[in-house]
Amino acid sequence: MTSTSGLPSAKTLRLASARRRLRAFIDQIAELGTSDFAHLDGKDALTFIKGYSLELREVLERLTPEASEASVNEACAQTSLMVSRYTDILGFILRSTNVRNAFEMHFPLKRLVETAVSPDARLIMSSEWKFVPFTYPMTLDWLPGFALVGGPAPESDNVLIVPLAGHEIGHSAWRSKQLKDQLMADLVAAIAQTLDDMPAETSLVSNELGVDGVALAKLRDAVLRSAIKQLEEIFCDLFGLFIFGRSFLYAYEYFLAPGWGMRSAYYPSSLDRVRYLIEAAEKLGIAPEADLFEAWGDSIPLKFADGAVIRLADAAVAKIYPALRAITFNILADHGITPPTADATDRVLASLRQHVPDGEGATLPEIVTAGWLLLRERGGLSLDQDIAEYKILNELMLKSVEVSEFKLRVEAHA
Amino acid sequence: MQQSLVSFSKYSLSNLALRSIVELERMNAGLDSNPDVFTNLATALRQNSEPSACTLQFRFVEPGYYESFERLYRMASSAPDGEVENIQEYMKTVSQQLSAVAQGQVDAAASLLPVCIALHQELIQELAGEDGFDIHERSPLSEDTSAGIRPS
Repeated sequence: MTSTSGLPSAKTLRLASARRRLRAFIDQIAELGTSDFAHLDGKDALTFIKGYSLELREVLERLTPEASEASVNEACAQTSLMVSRYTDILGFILRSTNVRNAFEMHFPLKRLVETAVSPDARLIMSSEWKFVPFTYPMTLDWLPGFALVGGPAPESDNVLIVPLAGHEIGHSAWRSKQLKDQLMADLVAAIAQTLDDMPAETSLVSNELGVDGVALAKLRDAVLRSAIKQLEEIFCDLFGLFIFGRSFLYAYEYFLAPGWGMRSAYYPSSLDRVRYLIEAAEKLGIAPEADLFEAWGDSIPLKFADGAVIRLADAAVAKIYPALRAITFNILADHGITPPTADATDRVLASLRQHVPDGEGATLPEIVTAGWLLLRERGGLSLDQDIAEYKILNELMLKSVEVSEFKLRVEAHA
Repeated sequence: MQQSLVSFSKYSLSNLALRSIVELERMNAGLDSNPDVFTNLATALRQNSEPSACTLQFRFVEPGYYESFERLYRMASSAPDGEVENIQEYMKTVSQQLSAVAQGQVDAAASLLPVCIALHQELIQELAGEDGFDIHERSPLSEDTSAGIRPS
């Protein structure tokens, strides 16, 4: 295919550019594969990404030289999108090999992922330059069995924030258990009921959208999208709470106090999230301190039609919440996961008070819960004179995790 | 809890749309083509435009696809707005045409190419709008694909 100048056409050269971009990306994967991986899941992720990249390359190669400009453009757009998206993931995988990461945490969390998500699930953890624990659940079509958990770099050695990884791993469980699909029918019913129950909000949005019939469909779609994402976030909170017990509440409070913030359509409000957490904690027999979330403020509500959509979604979410909580707890219990036991937590706490790691094989959640309890009884350990004590606490927790890991492995071969 | 069939992700759908574009181009050029791609796209469109749970209180398309499918329907029908039923009917027709092409009825291939291109464009624009790594400054009802523990 040539242009009037006799040179290859812009379309042909554009397709060639897409192929070269993809080749450079694949070459980069090969280079990263030579890194030192403390855990092999990162290396496996590279293999998966490379496999999908090669499939995309095959698609580009099957595109005929006679293909239309529009078809070539779509191929170029898809290539750019995937290369761009997964370049970020390659960076995450590379940073996961950095020695600043607390590698001791990998094994107990990996076991958790295997137990709660799937026996084939993989875990990649990295310290990231973003001050919030986060993950990439919706973007990882090329890595569906992977949980990517990032922690903020300044906290990369802080064992006390590990419970928040429970929330992030929850996103992987949400997908693997196909909970959205499980909940959809009941959510649709709840939304239909809510629209009837809240005519003022329904009218406000319908009037703004202005077209009868279609407005209602758009309203339902917006409420459905907000509600399903809110339910996913609540599921992840409950998932982390069940596994890590009260230490999840403390880690949550550490990062998110005092609430506030701008309301997002895809998260419950600050106070709703806390209400759901407290209610679920009580169901688990955890009695959080009465003042733990007492002074929290709510997110700033959205106004006008967006605000009405969210109020409708919130009401529908509240209807589904009890069933969601039961499903969450049942899933974890069915997988043999139990919340931290009081006996083991008290035993670890007693050891930590004496500056001794636990030697009895406590679980990671029990160790972290005991760590939080000690920190809180010592007033938060934030003053200059507390620095040594605080560091010792962290080291004792890490050592306790190592001892538990050692016992698990040795006893498995005894 | 009633259970519906599992939905396809936007990436899966965009990937199937692109593959269909490539195979339709090959078919139109008289080259060999892979009919499985059309079958897979037909299934995905059926499932995402009419989830089985929508036999309940109201009809809906898979959350996150309503606007894309509505624009696609409007482009094909010149209708100013699309009722859910009309959108679903249109997507069902496209799905049936894809199945027919997969079964060797190649006369629909030429008319399906612009539909697949438009579908892919819609999906790729949605996907490109989902910056998975920056959850700041989003409009309240925009798609947000990253999932931190808090909204940013």
